[in-house]
Amino acid sequence: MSDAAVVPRRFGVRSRTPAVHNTTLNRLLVGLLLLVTLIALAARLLAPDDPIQPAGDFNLPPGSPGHLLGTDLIGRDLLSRTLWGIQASWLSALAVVLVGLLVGGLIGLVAGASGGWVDNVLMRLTDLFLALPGVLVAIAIVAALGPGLVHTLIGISIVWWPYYARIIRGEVRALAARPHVEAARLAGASRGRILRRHLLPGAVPTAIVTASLDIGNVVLLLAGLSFIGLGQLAPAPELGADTARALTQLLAQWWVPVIPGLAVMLLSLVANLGGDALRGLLDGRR
Amino acid sequence: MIGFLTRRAGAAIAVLLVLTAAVFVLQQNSPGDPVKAYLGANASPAAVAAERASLHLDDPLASRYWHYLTQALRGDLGTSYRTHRPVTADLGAFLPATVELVVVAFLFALLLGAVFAMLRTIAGTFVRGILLVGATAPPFLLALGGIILFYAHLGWLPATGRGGNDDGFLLTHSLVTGDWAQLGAGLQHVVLPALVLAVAPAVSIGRILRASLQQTLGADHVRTARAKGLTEAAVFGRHVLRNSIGPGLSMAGLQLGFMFAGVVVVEQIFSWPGIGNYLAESIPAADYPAIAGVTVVLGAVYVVTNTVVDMIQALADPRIAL
Amino acid sequence: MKPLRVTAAVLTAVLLISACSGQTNDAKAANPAPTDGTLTVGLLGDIGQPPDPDIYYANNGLAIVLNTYEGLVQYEDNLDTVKIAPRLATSWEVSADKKVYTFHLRDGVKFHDGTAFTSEAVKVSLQRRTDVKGGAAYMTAGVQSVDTSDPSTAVVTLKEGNAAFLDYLASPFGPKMISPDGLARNKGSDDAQTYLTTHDIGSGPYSLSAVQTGTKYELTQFDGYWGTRSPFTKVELPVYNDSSALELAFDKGDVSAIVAALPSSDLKKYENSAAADSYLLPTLQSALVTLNPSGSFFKTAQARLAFLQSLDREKLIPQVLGNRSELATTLYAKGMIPDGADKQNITYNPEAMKTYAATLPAGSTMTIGYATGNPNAQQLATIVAAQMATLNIKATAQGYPTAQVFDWVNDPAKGPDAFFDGNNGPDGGNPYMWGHVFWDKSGGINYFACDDPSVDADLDKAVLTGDNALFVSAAEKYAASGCYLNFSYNKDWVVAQKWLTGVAESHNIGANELNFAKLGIKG
Repeated sequence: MSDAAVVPRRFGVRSRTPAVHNTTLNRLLVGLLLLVTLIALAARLLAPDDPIQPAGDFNLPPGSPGHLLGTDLIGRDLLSRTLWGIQASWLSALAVVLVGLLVGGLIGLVAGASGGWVDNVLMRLTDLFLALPGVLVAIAIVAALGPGLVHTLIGISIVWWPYYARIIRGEVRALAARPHVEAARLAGASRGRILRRHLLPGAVPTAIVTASLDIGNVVLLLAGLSFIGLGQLAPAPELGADTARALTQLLAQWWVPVIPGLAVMLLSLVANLGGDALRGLLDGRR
Repeated sequence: MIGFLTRRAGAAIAVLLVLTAAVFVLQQNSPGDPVKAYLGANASPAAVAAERASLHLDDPLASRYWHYLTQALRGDLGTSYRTHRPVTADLGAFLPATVELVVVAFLFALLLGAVFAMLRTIAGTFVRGILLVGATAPPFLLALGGIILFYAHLGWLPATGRGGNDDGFLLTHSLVTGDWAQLGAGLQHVVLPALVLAVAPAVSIGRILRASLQQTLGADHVRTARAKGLTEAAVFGRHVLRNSIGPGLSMAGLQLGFMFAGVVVVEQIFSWPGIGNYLAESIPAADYPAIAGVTVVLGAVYVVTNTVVDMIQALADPRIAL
Repeated sequence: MKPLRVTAAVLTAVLLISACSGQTNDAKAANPAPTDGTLTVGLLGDIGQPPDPDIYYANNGLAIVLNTYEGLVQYEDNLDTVKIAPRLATSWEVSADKKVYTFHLRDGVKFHDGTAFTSEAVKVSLQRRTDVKGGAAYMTAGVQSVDTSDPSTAVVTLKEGNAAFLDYLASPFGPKMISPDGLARNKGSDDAQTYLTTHDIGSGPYSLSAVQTGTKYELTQFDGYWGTRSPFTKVELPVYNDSSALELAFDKGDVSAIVAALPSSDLKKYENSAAADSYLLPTLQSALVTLNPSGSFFKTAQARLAFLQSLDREKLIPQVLGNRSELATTLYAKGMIPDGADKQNITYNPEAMKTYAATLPAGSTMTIGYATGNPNAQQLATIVAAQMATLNIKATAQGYPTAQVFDWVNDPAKGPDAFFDGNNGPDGGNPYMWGHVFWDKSGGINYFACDDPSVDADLDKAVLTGDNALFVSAAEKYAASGCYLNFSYNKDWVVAQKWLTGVAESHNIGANELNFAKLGIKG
């Protein structure tokens, strides 16, 4: 594993080893994932003001006394609103990813482990869902169930699981062809045992890494849906909705849309870097 | 190969049937009266009734759906409630703009994805940083930020529109006819929206490509090749790249599909006259023929893209059979 | 990876700082006037419907219709009260029973296809309005006949008296004169609707020379126009779908004027700007509040009136709407009824709502609606929703697309409990045109079908003769229901480059648009 130096630097891709050396940094970044989750859960305690009630004058710029990040169009404290928004966005994204991971993971696992017609049927179904334009499906669901964050989340979840099904199925198929699994099969291990002992543990790291990288995508998708009028209803806070609704103020009072927008970036960045770091840690252990 | 294409054609038909059926069920259940929205507040009940009858809105759902399907087979997707034009005419007017935008954005995404994965100079790190930050920003904020910076402050790029009076394939047309001035204007207009559209896919593609390159570099056959004394470039080109491009390609195909959804936001901010904008205007007006038309087109594009990507992948990697 | 993370952090910081510093361009100098005779008027969003005067029934693209076509009469320009002025008719007489309208037509008027304007055009144009069955076809529904025996006089006879008919003709959505020859030539199977999607055959100062739906509309000056012409030989109307992009284009000088499209949050920036002119021009528009008697919340008139009294308009209007609006003190639009006899008796008193809220079960919910894409209404709805929370009422503010708003009347229980209309108004200046649309069950903007049949009957009776006392009593009766509040009188907000002249002079109370022929270049 010491051949990193031999690799042509010009092309600039190192083989995977260096990630292992950065264990401390990686742990720190994974810690960030947990920290954001903690902040999301503790928004109630951290926020100085009510996120819904006006707490000061309209459109106060950041740094105003009593309002560190300023106030919005109707005088609500932006720091409080952003903290509560982090709660809504982050926990929503976690929920969608978790549902996708469980449903898609199960389908992918079964399809990959079974092969044959089961695999065929499940993957055709997955492909069908993958071919649905997600935004439109979300619109359809919201139109049928009525607007609101929960309904939007249901809509996203319906189009979200197929990616996991595909990825997990691919991973399981690859694992199934590996010598140690082959050996277990030849040794007469039951299908259930192979699934439990070899395929499931092998697929879990990929699944977790994909999921943590994916949280950022869901946060961004929620923001995009808010832009076209779906998602969290006012006056409840949610970062994407707060950014999209205040977009007309961008030139006059930039901070009102930019602060929740930066929080979206922050969440997405944390999810991305944290996911990468998690991959590094898991690879190092393997 | 023929079996593969037949299967895919079957899948495409299934997807389109599901999608149009979904739109029709949605139309039945959703609140919103397209006729009132179209005729306006003061329309007399008689005028509303006449319009509803002429649009067959009071027929049973199944018969309307059947009517839609049979008409669609003849190339008639109905008439938009909003624009009063045939949906096919509207799509014909708006689809070329979207196609050109997405194609340019896709090229950007591939290029930037490759840079993200491979370039390891200071410049590469810088590009990666920009891409990573850009990919985490809400697209509408990124788009407006781009306009503020490149249009309002620097004055380098135009903010909106396509830069020509031709509604169709502006870039292709000016390229073919050798209208260089028009081509230049068109390219100038497409850069900013295409970049905004390309950033997130570029990171996804680059990330996968990078991971797959890293894996291949550590593989035995690469060590063997190097041990044989092949030049670095030969090792990289013949053994590393070829074996790692597959996952990157399949991610690129997936991202191409996403881009067609992403245009809804990007086209709106950049006032790009494409189907994303058309869809965004049709939704609040409950213009279901238009929504169904866009859905059919997007569904078809999605299936075709996936098919093409699978074929390219099979060509690039002999291990994959169709 | 380490330098990458540093770069990412630095870039985020740079982005933040550049965002902060992006605000310092207010002290910019004025943009120069165009030298190629092109006026550029930015549109926010596509015009949405074909620019056919018998079909177009929205505000955004009205400028195109009003500069390519003309009606017999119009509202007096640059005046803040309702007064009808000549356009293609130079004078007119109305019979005492309001049934026969005689118009003396302007000489020397030509349509864009070269056809001369005569009484025949009046007859054909009014008939087409009825035949096409567009949203504003009600205006000609009462026409019995048009006598064209004298080419320079048109005598319109109605089936029954209608005191609002002149207002129908003066309305920006009213019947416009279209070339009868042009219509016959391009009739097709749909009364020339297809042709008029991309062409015009009106008599206005400009003709429609290019249509790129969703991108740009272009008008070219009509050489044979009978009236005065502006220095602008070409008018371009590019479509912007985002208000910030439109605003940046204006600041850079790529757009000459914006009519009623920017958010009120920008009002201060332009009112204090040395680089641009800001005009607040009179209209018949208002911000309105409508309450839903079919929901659980506002079943009784007492509850509805309590809610309306809890709105602190003196505080909300300056905060949200700025100088664009003033507190409405009448039930009809400002100046519709002489001397403001239609007084609105709603004053701020939060106690009644507190009392009502106390009778409700804890955790009662209320939905406050607004039209999607109207930031002012959104802001009002959000503030009021937050205020409700202090009374232990769980209120949400929700945006609704237009198609949905117009569907409530079919089943009001599906609608929100209250609806904030940021800007709405009648088609014209007659009190009937206000009362009918907002209060009549079949009016169209009576969203929740809150109805009093005796009000409808009074309005129908008043329009026959134009009896103002009857209009006032109908309004007072309706106001007692608590379903409706005239929240504020709104003005049109036009932002124009410093070099543009004649903005106020080219605008009237009905049109909410500019007559491009009356604009000019300073100096």
